[in-house]
Amino acid sequence: MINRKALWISILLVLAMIAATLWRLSLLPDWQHVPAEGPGNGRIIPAFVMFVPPLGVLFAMGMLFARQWLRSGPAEAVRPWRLYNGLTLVFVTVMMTLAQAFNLARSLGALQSVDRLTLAHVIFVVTGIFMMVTGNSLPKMPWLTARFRPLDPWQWNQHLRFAGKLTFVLGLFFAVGMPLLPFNMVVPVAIGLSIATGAASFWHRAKVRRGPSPQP
Amino acid sequence: MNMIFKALSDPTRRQILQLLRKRPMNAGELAEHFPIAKSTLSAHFAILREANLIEANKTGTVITYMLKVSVLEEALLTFAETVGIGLPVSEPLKKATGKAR
Repeated sequence: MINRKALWISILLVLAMIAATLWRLSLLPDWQHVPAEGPGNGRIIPAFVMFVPPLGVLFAMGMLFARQWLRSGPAEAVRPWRLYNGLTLVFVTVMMTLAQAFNLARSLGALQSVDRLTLAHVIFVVTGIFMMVTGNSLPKMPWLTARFRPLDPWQWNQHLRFAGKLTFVLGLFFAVGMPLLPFNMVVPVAIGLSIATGAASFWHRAKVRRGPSPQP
Repeated sequence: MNMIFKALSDPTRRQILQLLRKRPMNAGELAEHFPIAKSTLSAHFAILREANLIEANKTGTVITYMLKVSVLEEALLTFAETVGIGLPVSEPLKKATGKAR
């Protein structure tokens, strides 16, 4: 359930990220340790950290493929979902590619004047806005049936309305609240909130499914 | 966007949306809540459908309506309901603004 063009763009960018990382590692005398802030600078990171962005994209791709396997519906209902998932995948890929390009450039000694905190804030603001846009349109998405524990159209509508609001509020916090946090708290708070949002969404789905449905 | 504001500016249409928040309803069930002609109600449904705020599913001869609002549209609906956009101006407000005369 991913737009084919979006999938190809993501695959090409993942390959480019991996190739660029391997090239960077090939330039090092010890390929297991990468200087994060440029040659001769103190901070050294393990090489596997450089593969986190492409792995992140592959994880997102896997989640979308799992969603495709779990859900199905008529062609006219699947089409908007393909576009929605494709846009999400392209957004994740582009953000990860930019982060990887920044990491590689810093490792080579370039872009030293760019502050990491400022960059993190920009990433959160852009991600927050994207989440607000996708969360806002989520309740408008058409009904799909599921392989396991399917929801009827009314339950699906209820669930998407909740999930949409949750995503919108999380996006709003990312865009407005994150720039106010100190750097060492940004990543733990973002991960914690994302996990809490996912858990709340799962809980709501189960609750809606158990409850009575007025669906005729 | 104009369509959405037009749809939400009318109290009857907002009441239809509030009823559909609770559960999907067919035209007959919705009509029970309003002392207006069915043709007028059909016009309201058409405006709501045009604004993409409700979804209509036809089963046989029965059309069932379901709410289909985005997060911001729902917030706008709540705001319009709270402020009372489109409602007749209350007597105290008329007096205060001098429109009673």
